[in-house]
Amino acid sequence: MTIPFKVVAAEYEPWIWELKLEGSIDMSNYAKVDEALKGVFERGASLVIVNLQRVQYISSTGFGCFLGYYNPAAKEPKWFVFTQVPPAVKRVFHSLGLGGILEFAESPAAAAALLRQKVRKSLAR
Amino acid sequence: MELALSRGMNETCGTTTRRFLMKGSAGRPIEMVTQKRPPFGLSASILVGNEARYLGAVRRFMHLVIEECPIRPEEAYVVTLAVDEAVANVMEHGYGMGKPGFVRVEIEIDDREFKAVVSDRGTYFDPTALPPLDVQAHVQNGRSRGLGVFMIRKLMEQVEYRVNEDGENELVLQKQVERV
Repeated sequence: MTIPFKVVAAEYEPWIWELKLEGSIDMSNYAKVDEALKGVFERGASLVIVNLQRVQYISSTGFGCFLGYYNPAAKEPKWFVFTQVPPAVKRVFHSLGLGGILEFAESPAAAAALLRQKVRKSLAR
Repeated sequence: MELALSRGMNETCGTTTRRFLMKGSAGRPIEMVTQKRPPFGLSASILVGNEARYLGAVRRFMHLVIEECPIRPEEAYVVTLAVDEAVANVMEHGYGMGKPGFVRVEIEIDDREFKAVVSDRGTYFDPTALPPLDVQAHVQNGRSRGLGVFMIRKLMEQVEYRVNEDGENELVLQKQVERV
């Protein structure tokens, strides 16, 4: 069964937003994901849970949307944690060596905890 | 894009040929042909125009191929991803988005091996000649695109580029698979 493409951004808790992606993300629609991300950042948020539970397929263009914002050394870095990633997708991320760049958590709650930890660490510096 | 399939079937000489017509949103049919090669093999092909919206049709095609010749789900995802990346590369770099052109994908699959040939008449370019990519350095240098060829090389066991006798680019992707 094909899940139609959808991207929804909503505030998960203060300062943390959740981006839920559904269906397949490829060259034909990645711009909508990027648009949703920009919308979140324009609201002043920089901590994002990316929920892939209902993603059936994501191409290099799709996850490139997130890699484009990866810059831990930035003055105001954007942090992403991917959650509920389908096993096939996660395996590909790891086999491509992206496991050291992208972060994963089992649930949105665990992802939020990881993001809060990052904020505490960066404030402690 | 709505995909509605209609099927016609031929049986000759112990092989079964099926034609699927998928209707895109413009109502233009996309033809996919599958041909069983007993006992476990299947040949299949699809021809799509140079438009990113047809990437979904290519993945639907891959799904149908794997439905007829099932392999392990993780392998199914990997070969679908590799083919999609190859087709997307043709669309973006071979022709350029919005330019006229076609991409043909021909699959041969059996209980041990998956092989895809992605053909086009776009710019001649050998992606296998690109140097290996350090993905960590690539990303840390602020680059988020250009991962398609890297992915194809990582996911497939053999990747070969050639120009066929009709002057078409062909990218050949091969991988050992396991039938389920």
